[in-house]
Amino acid sequence: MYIQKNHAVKLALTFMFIGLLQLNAISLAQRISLTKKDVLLTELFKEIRRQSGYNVLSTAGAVQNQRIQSITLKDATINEAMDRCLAGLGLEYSVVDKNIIVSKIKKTSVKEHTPQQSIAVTGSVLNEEGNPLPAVSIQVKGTQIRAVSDAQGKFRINVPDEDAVLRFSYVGYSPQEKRVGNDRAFTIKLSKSIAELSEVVVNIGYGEVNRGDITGSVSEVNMEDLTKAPVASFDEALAGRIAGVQVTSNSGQPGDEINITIRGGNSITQSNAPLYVVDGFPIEEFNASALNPDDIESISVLKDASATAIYGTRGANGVIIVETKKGKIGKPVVSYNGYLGYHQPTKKIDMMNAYDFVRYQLDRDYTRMYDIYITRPGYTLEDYKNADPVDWQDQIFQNALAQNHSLSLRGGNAQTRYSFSGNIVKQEGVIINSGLDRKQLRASVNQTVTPKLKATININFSKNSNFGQTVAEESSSANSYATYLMYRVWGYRPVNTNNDIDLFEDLFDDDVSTSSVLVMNPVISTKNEIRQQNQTSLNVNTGITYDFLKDFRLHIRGGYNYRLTRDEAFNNSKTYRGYPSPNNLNGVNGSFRDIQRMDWVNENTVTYKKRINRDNQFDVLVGATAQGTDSDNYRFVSINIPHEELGLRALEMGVPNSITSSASKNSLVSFLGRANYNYRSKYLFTASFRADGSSKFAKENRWAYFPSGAFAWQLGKENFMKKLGFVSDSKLRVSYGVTGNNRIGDFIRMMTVDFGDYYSTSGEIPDYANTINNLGNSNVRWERTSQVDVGYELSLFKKRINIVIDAYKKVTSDLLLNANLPYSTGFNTAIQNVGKIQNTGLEISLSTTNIKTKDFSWVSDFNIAFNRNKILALTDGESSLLSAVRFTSNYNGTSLYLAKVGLPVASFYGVVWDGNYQYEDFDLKADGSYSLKSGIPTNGNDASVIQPGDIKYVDQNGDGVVNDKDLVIIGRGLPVHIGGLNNNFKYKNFGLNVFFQWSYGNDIMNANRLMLEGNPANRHMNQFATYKNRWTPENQNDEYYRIGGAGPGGVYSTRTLEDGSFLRLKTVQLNYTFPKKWIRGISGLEAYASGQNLLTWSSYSGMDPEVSTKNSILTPGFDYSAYARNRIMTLGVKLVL
Amino acid sequence: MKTIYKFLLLAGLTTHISCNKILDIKPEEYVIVADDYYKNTAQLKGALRGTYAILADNVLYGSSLLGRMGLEADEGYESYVTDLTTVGDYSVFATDGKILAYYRSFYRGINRANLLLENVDNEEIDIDEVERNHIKGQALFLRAYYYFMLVNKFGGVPITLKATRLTNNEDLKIPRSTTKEVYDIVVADLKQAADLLKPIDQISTGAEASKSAAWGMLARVCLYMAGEPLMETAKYAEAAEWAKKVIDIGFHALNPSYKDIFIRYARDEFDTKESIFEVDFWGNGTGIYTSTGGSVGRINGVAYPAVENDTVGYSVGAVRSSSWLYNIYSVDDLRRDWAIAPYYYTGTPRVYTLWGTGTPFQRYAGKFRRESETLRPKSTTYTPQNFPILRYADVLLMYAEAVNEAIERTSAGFNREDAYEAINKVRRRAIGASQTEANSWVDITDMLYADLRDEIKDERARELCFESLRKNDLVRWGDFYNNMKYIYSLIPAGTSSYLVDARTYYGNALPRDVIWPIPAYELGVNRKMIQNVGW
Repeated sequence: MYIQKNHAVKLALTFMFIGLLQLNAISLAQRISLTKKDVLLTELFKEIRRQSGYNVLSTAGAVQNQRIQSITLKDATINEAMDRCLAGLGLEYSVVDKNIIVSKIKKTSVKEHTPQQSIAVTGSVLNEEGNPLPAVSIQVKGTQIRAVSDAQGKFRINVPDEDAVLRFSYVGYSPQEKRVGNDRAFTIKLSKSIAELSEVVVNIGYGEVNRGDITGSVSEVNMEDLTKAPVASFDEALAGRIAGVQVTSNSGQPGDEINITIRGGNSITQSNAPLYVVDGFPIEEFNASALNPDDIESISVLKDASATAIYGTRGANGVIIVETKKGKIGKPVVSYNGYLGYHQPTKKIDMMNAYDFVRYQLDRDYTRMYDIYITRPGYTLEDYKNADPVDWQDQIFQNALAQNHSLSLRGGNAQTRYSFSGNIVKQEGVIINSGLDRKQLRASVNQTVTPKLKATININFSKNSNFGQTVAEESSSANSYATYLMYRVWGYRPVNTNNDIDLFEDLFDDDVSTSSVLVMNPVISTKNEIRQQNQTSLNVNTGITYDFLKDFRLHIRGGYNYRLTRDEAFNNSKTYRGYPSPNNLNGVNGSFRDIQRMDWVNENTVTYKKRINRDNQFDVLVGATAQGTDSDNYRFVSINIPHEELGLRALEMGVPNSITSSASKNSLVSFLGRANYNYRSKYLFTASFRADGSSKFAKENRWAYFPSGAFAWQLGKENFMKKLGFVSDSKLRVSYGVTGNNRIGDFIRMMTVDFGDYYSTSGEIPDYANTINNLGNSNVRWERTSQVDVGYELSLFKKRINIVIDAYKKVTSDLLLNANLPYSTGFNTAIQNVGKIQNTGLEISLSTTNIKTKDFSWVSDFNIAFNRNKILALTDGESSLLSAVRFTSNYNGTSLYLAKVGLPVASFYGVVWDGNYQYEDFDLKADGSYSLKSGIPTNGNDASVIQPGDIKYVDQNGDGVVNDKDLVIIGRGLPVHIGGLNNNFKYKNFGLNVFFQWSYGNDIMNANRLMLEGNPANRHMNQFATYKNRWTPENQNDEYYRIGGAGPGGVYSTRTLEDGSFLRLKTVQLNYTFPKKWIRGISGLEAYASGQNLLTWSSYSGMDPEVSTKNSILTPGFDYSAYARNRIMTLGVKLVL
Repeated sequence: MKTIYKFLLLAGLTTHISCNKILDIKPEEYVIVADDYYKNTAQLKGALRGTYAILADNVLYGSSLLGRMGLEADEGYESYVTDLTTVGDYSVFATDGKILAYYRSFYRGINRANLLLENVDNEEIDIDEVERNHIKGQALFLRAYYYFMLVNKFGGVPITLKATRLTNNEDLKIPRSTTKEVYDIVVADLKQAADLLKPIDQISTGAEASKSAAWGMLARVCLYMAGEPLMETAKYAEAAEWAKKVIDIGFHALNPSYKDIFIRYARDEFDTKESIFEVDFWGNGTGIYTSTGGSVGRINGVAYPAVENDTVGYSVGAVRSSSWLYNIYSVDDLRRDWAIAPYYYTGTPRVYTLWGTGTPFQRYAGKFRRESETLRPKSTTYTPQNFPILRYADVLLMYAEAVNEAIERTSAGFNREDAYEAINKVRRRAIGASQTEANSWVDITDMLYADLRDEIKDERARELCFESLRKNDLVRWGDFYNNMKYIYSLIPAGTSSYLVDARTYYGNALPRDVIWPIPAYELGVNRKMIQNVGW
């Protein structure tokens, strides 16, 4: 009885996890040899299992006490072996994956179809591309007769008669049926199912679940679509793919940080980056560029608390689970994917032409400019209409070459699956002397040691280099706005009339720089700057699973992640930072920094899966994990270096300067548990719990507990829904949970002594002054985010239309805020648990199969997300927080951003621009001069200097002067909604992918226009072409102030605040799959052309609306001298051998 | 099933035991924990240097106090485009960044002093008692000076005499004390410091606090208390006593050459006879010493905008004089053409041109001249010039003033002759005459109280102009607003940018400007704070 039950359960489980097991299906090629006499059938099965790895299961009592007199097998296939074993015993069998199910031949079938009468049928199953599809389940419809395709996709099955119908099914593919008829050999081609998504298993962290059984909000990235974007790392292509996942980059600089925010920022001063889990290894500071997108099997994003709570303390910012590709059972498959292409800037700014430039300079400084541009060359102003100006953008931008080659070898058999891959990326930047390089290798082996014990190892090695000067950074602190690269590119003189000056060869333009403010030739300095970041990462991730008792599985995993980041900088005498001058007494200098980071993890989990009966099943996961990070940081600077031609190798010859050294360490210990209960796959319950202990907190605050619960109701399985024929699936989800955030410094709780300052009371060389800059807070504890999520999923018309809608509310309390302190404490800030923030949002995803015919199909995915962010409380008593960005001296103290209780974390704050002062605002005095009428407010300058054509602002409080008291909220830092639209068209062998992405409602402070559309410092520099239309007595307008009419410095106004909304044709790929018959000897060949950032619709006048050069949660959307966004065009091939 | 439980139990137990081991990371292996620090003389001295370093902060004497915060008042004004619409031109708002930084920095210094004072008496430290007292005295001196600088700019401020610890957020919010309470703390600390500090002849530098510095500072503090807003006139007598202590030790004397005082500052040479306490700036910002360089001469010197020339050195020239200041000097007063530079620079290479007969409003403050620097190469950003906080000439003038006021208020035991002798020493030096010998050309005698008072007021301007002292003097005398408006009336017509700046500066000044607003930030985070009247 016991055995029977045991087998029944096993059988049930077998069917239940059919999809899961198919991934691990075993080749039928396994050979069995044995010689036995008078043996129990059960003994025989044990031996078969030992040799083949196949479980032989039997239905109730079928094989009890059955004996075999004599049997000899030699290199028999499993089918041959089973045929021989069961011959004449009245038993039949079917093979389901690695399980062979033996049952009594039903009375009727014995009568009608004795085994002798059956017809043997063979064949092979192929996928759409014509590649063999192993592990396809083949069943004779209406019977228990089953077979499975082998590694070559071949199968063999005995059917009762010619009327038998074979049903071929495989996860992710539409099942197919075929009547046997007269054929004895078939070639079946399975095509991918439309509703593929709902059938696949999804990684939810510490386990996988069938799509349909998920109770939380989990989205998957369609990797096939994502890898159509010709980018080096997956995060660059993630924007717009998933509802609620906001991806922004500061600019187009190669290697620039990509910021991912899931469902809005929770934290005001600390990191909002999600937790990454790569092959089960949770990493907080993940470097996406260490992975080749081609190596990624799946990416799922856990969004609601039910899904993320299993990651407890680190789940509050969302979790991105990345699974890499593993070997698949089958013959070795060699694939190559490579492309060549070029990058170019998406846009150039129109600059003044020669005529407009000279006219502008004459207007600005007539005497001197007349001498330079008219007298000296003997030209007239009109002559410049034919002159050919230098557009320095053409000098600094390049059509950059890019190439990317990936090669992989994957395959395996029942025991061993392997995957080896490598990738080389070489990509020049669109600005000269910049770019990135990557060399990456990956190996993965999955080994079945015994049927119960499996081992796996993944190794990833990568070496990334980003090089090129940081375009969006100042090069010198004095008049810093003029030291940013793009200011120099745009502003550098387009015409030259001085024979002693070679604009292209001279480091400084002597006609221009006579004062302390030097503008260095942008091309020369760019060519000479050495900035390189090399990152070497090694990730080793290994694990074993052990099935013990019945239904239990133990999973032990260990991982080690090593990353060495080496920053090299060298400033020779032709660069800003290295040009010896009284501004730079350090002369030629260079530096070298090593940052090492080592993460280790050990995770031990046990899962128990139980099907109580037909209706009730559950699974339980419990685990204990430990994780830690060690890091150190060393930097060495050398100044006044002779022999600059040796570059970094000359560091030793210079004067040793500052040396930095620091090290840190943290660790995390956790216990976790999750239970899923499933009633008839209709009612699904999930509860999870995690206890985390972190070394970052004092002993008494160390532990925190994060529970969650979720319920899902598969409405589609209810009868009332089933009656609605057009509804294929319908699910309602509700979840609630608490997650945490621990993104603070490792020892932030301690009051620590620093050595950053020096002083001397003796007049001698100063000595260290030790000071305390970190107050420390031993009370600091976990930040907690509680989230409610309600989701509804609906599939219509045989899953041709799929809708997912999620609404959520997240409240983060005990915010780990680097909170402002009263300065009377002697400290500026301390990490404290104060403040509260709320994010509410709505996410809608819609995927539809618009057209599906034999030759043509069109599938589209659309998603849109609205997130509303609101500060509920800041530091006790504080109602607002002002933030400034460091850009150039007179703006550094101006707070451009406001974070206020009741408002989002970042709103633009400034004065409202009111055009220009016009003549009617003035009284004409007797001497012909104009004086501002009384009652007309000043712009902050003294009334006596304000002239017609000067910039004018709104005097909000009516006190007659525009100053600090007239600042108002002038714009949104965060978008109203973001989203994406992906389309896949297929016509015969052609495929076309068109992907749009957008952001709507956010503003951008275009600070470039502050300096290059009006020239407030009144310098001999070029300006944007728009400034042609400046106010003059002949051209009185309200758009561009007159020369010298910039008003007071350090003022941000609505004049340069622009709508940053955009819609972008982000990715297009056209591919052609070569027909099989053309390519004998290889399994597949595809050629494609891809493009990235092809078209942008935006009213933003700057280089690119996807910009945030001073990015932080509090200071988004600032644009000054951003690295140009690149448009990418590539041609590539994919080859499968 | 039992096996499972056993297994889980075992697994759980093992992990539990090891988890505390994993979580117990010792911070002291990675960072220096303050609680374990300050255990030897070197560590105390490091903390002391940290307390001094506040003075050199960029937002204090490092740059802002050198003419960018309106402290010159009637002596001169700021003409620096970077500081438009800030406290620098008397556009004073509670949100002003420089006022906030000033407030923040002095409190940072107070906390450093508090922490040092908590540790200095630790018996475990093996240190000579004289040395320990001297360190303690310096910490007290600096804490007093920092509170003094706060109270004379903001009125009553929160008092905290213990190093800040974060135990309870509410404890960090301290309400304002009264002006009087803060002054009392200042006096108490300075008195204690005076007892503990070494006499000035035992230290070789003016950058280190000494008994003279503490006494001299007590004289200044008492004078401030005697004037607006406290009006504790009894403090005049006390001020005189403290000043007399400095005079009576016989060590101090005026440098025979007025300009040599400032040339020495530029050269980093100490003259403790004249310069009792000063801020030490060091180096030109090369290498690691970026925080030790200052801006003396760069902000408040003669403008020279070129970077190519290394003989003068770059200077913003942010401070120009008022015609009133120029005109209160007699023609033979050597101080005039040093304090107010009679020349300006243009071009590359440099052209030296004497000012013509134009208004003195265009002239730059000239006390701190970059051409006096000996350090090479010269940086555009950092200068090594020191800046005076207390000079012997100031002590003499304070003494004269205190004696004159004390006698007027019938305090017994004072002789007006002492007042004449003190001020005359300063006046004699001003024309290059011997300071000890009577000089009928410049000596003053036999004046009425009010005349002597007014003469001292002007003498202070002549002697101490552009040393960041004037506005406080005007405030305590109650002369601030009147004087500012008087200077405004002197500005000639014209639209030259410096005249526009002068009109802005003197025009903006309001009666409320005798004090600064409490920074809006502080009111935001500390709801126990109350704003000053008028803002």
